[in-house]
Amino acid sequence: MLLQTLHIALQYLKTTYRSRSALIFSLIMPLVFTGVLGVTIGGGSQGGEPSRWDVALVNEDGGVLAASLVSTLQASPQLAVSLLPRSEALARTETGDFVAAVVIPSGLSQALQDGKSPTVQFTANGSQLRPAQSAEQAVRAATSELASTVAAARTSVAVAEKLGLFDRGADQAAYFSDALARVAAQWTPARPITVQAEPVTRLDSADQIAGGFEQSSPGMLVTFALVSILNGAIVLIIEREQGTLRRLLVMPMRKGGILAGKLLAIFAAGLIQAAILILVGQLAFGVNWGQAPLALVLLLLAFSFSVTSLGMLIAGVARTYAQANALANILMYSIAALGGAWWPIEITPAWMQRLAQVTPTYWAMQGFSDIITRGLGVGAILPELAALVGFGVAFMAVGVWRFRYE
Amino acid sequence: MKSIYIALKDTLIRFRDRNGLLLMLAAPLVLAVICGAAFGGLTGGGEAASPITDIPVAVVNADRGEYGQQVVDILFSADLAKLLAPALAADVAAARAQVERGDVRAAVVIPADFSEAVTSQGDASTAIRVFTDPTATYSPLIVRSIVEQIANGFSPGILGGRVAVAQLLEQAPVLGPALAQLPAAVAEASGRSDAPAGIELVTSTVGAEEQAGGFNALAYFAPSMAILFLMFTIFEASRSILGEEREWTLQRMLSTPTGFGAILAGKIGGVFLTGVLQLGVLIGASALLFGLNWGHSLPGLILLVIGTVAAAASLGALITALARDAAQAGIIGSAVALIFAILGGNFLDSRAYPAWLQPLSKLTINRWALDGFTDLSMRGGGFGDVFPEIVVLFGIAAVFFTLAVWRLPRRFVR
Repeated sequence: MLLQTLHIALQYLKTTYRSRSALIFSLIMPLVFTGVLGVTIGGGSQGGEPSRWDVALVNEDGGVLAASLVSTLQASPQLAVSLLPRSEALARTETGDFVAAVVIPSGLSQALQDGKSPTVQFTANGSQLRPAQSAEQAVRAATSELASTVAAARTSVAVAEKLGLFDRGADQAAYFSDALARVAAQWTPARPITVQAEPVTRLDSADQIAGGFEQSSPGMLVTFALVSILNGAIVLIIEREQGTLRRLLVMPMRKGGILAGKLLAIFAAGLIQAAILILVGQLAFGVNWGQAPLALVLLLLAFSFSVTSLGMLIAGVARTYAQANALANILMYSIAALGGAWWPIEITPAWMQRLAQVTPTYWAMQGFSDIITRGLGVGAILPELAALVGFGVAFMAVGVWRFRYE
Repeated sequence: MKSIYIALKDTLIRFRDRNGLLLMLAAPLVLAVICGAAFGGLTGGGEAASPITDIPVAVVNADRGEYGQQVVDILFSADLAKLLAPALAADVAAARAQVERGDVRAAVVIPADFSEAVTSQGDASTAIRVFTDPTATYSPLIVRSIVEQIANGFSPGILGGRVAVAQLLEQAPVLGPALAQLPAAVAEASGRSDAPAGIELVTSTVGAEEQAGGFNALAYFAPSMAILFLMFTIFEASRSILGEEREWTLQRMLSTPTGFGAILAGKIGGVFLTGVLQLGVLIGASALLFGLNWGHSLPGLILLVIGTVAAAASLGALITALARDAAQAGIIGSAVALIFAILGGNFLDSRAYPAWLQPLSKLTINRWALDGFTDLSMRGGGFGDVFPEIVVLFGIAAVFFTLAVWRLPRRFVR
């Protein structure tokens, strides 16, 4: 009985992987998708470096304070700054060469010295709003640094004024310049309040984090395993329509054994697809898949089980192949997208992040991130495992209950 | 005449198939809604430049003085309410654990000596620590920059005081006894922690967003998903010619007094008509359901639809001509549809692709069609804006169609 079940499973796998199309859809296609999505999502990030956003900078002010803002922006770890004339900066921001253009208008230095609030223009590229938003905050940090330097120098001038220094003939402008130089000199080596950012990960070093590929590699694993498994499951209906399932039923086997054999094969094909993509991610894109092998295996088993069960559910409720095919296609794209397999879930609105939790893909993505990016093990992915197995049991129960053999 | 009849019959059959309609019409609409919502298209209006909102942040204040509390107050202030969703955490370990579990994108830890450092006249320094979620790209950087801005806000008081003391001590000979007031004057001047005269950042956006009402991701993904599923429909429909051959219905048709050319023309015409109707319904539905504006040029829109469908149908016919059988045509069709989709920007905005990918992207029908449709739907463009795309699409159609017409008859003549 068990042997026959295994035999049915093996037969399915043989037919699947003998065809040349398996090579295209299991290997080449995911490779291209992982690559394109990875480099796009990763933005300026390279080899674990935090993302740097390309920003065009226009300095129309000849003053010393504007020059200091330029060097602060150039020193920002989050920005890759190119100094350009205004027209070129804006034109190339519009075409998408830069995520944003920053224009320092003439008169900025003078306005700051006079205690006024000058403006700096920040023009974002409309199709790169998220990188632009990050860049905007980095620019704000730089402008606040300059404003603080100026304010500190003005504080010193105010104290001197209070004590009547300038009434005794001292030059206020020179005194201000001196104060500014001293503030700047103190700022660089010993800034009174620094901000230290560090990623929370148990990986040995942050450069094990592979930029955009750590999103696209598990994301495409989830997507292509989903496609493989659901397409496999709806074959059950073809077999029913063509009568081969009925033919199998005359064998001295229980119905359950035949169905189990088919499902086992579909489940295994999903695992094989996942394994191929793990190798692709590790070898071609440097994603750190080998961090916690036991956790990874458990997560893959739970994910494949939940999706196989989803396939069984579709096979159980759909009456015809055409219906199952339509249902499966809409479902596989929707839950892959919704669960965060196509883009980082952080960019979606809060209500969508909550909605995502009703998809098994969300839990799989969370689990994969825990392992490859946060460097965690089995203990951390227990909630994800529970959710996936829970989905799996529920889908499978309904699917098997509703399934008709002929 | 017979060709037209075949084309109409094929189209009618496809639009009577309820499951087929699910894939042709429901799937692209559902996905456009999901993608549009993900990239912030359904919220409508809003601040275009702040697509990321409500970043969950854990805040730990280990400082007992007034300045640590000021930092907390700023993080919880109304100014940052849209961007941040802060919550206090008990201690550093709890906050780190929240980041590690992915419950928050970052944790901000105000050190115990923060107020001391702010009020110190010596050169004490301290660090605010920001723990970030490595699985997130944008929000941790945003939190970090915000904390830097807050920290910078405290610096004038501290540095100003220090520099004032240093500078004035050098002026002791000039000042004489007035120097005695120095400590009081410094305390007064540096005690003000209210924001100094700052630099105001005036934000705006260019490209992709000139239509009133702000960036609308749906205006990108509605045409994008329509194009993706148009390709699926067309390749699937094109290979039906091979399906008819396999099931001997093609041979049966040939036994009637109908020329081979007429049958082929009817078949390809049916594919074309199906595609035009599919795109037409999707454009109409997205205008009605989501209020999407498809631009100022009806002729431009119509020519773009025809050009896109013609290019895709010609490629479909070429694949049919080159494939060994229906199964192989199915594989090639799916593969081409998916590769074109990822390169052409159907899943992510192709304008965000790195420069080296752009030429590859522009090899696809999808990219040209998408550029044209988004010129209309996102930028509210007119005929002149979409004319280049229309020309390219008709050019692609002409090349593929010529190749297909040359190869197709040979395919069937044995």
